[in-house]
Amino acid sequence: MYLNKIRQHSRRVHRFSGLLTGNPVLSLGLALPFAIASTVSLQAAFCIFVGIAAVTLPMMLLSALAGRFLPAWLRFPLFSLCAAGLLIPLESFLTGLFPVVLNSIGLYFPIIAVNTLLLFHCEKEAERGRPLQALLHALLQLSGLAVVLLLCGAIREAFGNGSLWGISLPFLSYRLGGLLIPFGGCIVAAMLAAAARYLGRLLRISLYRSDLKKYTQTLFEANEQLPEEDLLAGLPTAVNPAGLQKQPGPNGPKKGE
Amino acid sequence: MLKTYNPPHIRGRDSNKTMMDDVLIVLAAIYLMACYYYGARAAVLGLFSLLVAILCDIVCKLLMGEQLSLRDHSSAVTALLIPLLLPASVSYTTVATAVVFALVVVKYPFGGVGNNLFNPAAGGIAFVCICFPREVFGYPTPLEPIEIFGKFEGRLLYSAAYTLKAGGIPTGGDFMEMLLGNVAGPMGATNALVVCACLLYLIVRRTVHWQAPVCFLLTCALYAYLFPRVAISSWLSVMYELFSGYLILGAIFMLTDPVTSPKRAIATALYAVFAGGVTMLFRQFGGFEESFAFSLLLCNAVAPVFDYLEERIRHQIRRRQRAKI
Repeated sequence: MYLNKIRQHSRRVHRFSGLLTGNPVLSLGLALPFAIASTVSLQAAFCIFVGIAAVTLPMMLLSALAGRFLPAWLRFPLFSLCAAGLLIPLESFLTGLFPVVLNSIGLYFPIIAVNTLLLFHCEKEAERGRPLQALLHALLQLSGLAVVLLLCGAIREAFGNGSLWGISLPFLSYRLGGLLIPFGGCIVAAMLAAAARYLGRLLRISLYRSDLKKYTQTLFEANEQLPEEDLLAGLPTAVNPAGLQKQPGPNGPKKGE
Repeated sequence: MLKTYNPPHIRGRDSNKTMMDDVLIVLAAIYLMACYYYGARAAVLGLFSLLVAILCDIVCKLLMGEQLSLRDHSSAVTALLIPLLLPASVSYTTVATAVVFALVVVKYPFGGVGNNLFNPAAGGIAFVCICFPREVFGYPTPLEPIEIFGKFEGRLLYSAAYTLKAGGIPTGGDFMEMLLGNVAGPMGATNALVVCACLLYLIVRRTVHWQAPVCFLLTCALYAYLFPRVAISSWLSVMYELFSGYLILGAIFMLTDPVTSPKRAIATALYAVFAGGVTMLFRQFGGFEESFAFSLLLCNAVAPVFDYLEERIRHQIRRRQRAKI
C-alpha cells in the first residue's frame, strides 16, 4: 500500500497522543506556568508533577463517569473543588519529604487545582463519557507532562545551579543564573518545543522518503509509469533537513545533481 | 553552497552588506579607542566574539537547511558590538555566552536575519547582565595594562551610571574626563566624542535614520533636565545621564537596528521618544545601573505598533482628502 509507513506512524501518533506528539506543554500549551516558573530544580519539578498527577487521574475518571450528568456551568468549579480537596493532604505529605522545595514552589502548588491541563481534559472527557479511554488518555498526557517538567527542572538546575536533585555536579562549574528565573524557564520550554517539532518533522519526512523509495521500486518492478519527481521537491529547503539525501529517479540522477 | 541574494528586509538600492559594512567601519574605529585604553585584550575579545558568531551561524544555518551567505554581515555586527558593551575585564566565556544567546536564542529561532523580533545584541547583553552582574558591572581602570588572556585580577571600579544610581556625582564633577573616555565604563561607550563622530558618519551615509538616535537622546536629555537624580544643576544632570553607561552607543547601534525598529519616519521618531522615556524610567527605578538593553527589548516588542498607527493616520488623512475632492 502506498505510504504505508507514514499511515502507520499517523495511527500510532493518534493512538498515543500526549506521549509521542500532542504533548500537553509543548504542543497544546497547557500547564505552562508550572513548566516555566516552578521547575527551578528537579525536586521542584517532581513535586509539581506528583501534584498534577494526583489530581488529574481521579478528576478525569470522575468527569468521564459523571461529567455528562452535570450542567456545563457546574463542572469547572466542581472539578476544581475536588482537586483542591485532593491537594491539601498531598501538600502536607510532600512538605514532610521536601520542606524547602515546597516552600520555594509557594503558590504554584495550590493552583494546580485550577490548572488548564486538568480543566481542558476533564471537559473533553465529560463530553465523551468513556472511563477507560479517559484513564488511558490521562496516563499518556501525564507521561508527556512528566518528560517536559523533569527535563526542564533537570536542565535549569544543572546549568543554573550546578547540581541535580540537590547533589552537586563538580564537572559543571559554569553556571548561568539566568536559567533559574522564569525568563530562563520560558527559554528552556521554547527550545524544547522547537526541538520536539523539529524531530517530529524529521521523522515524518524520513518515513515519507522511505515509503516513496519502496513505492518507486515496486512500480519499477511492475514496469509501470513512475512519478516524475519527488513530491517534496517543490517545498522550501527548510522543510528538507540537510541530512537527508534525495533519491535518484528511475532514469538516474538528474543533470546537475 | 553559498547564496548571493540579499536578506528579505532590504528593498531599495542599499543592500544588507553595504549597511552592515558601514557599521563595521565605525565599530573598527571604536575598537581602536578601546585598544588605546585597555590594550590588545579589547581587540582579542572582539575577534573571539566574531569567531563564536561564525560558528553559531554555521550550526544554525545547517539546522535550518539554509545556505551560508557571505553577503550577510549582521552576525558580525552583533558579535563585535557585544564586547563593546561589556567591561574589558570580562571573561571570554561570558562574551561567548552573550553571543551564543544573541544568535541561537534571539535571532535564528525567529527566522534569522530580517525576521528577528528583538535586537540580538540587546538580548545577549540582558542575559549576561542577569547571569553575571558582578562581572558585567565591574570595570577596570582605563590605561592600566590588562593581560590578554586569563582572568582579570586587578581592581574593579564602579561606573558613572552606578554612581548616579547610588546618588553620587560621577568623576567628582570632572565632566571632561567622561567626555574623553578616561573613566571606568563599558569598553566602547566611554569615549563619547568618537561615538558621536560615528553617529554623524552613519547619518551622512544614510545607514541609520537620524530620527531614532536624535529623538531618543533628546527625550533622555529632557527627562534628565526635568528629573535630575542627584543634587546638581539640570544641565549637568543632562550631561552626566547622556554620557554615563552605553546610552549613546546603544542609541546609535541598537535602537537603529533596521529590522526591529519602525520603518517610517514619523513612527521612528515616536518610537525613539517612547524608548527614551522607558529607558530613563528603567534607569531611575530599575534594578541595574544600566538597563538600556532591557528597555530596548520592551520597545522592540511594541515597535510594529508605531508603524501600524502611522499607517492608520495616513489612511484617514488620505480618505478625508479624497472626500474633499
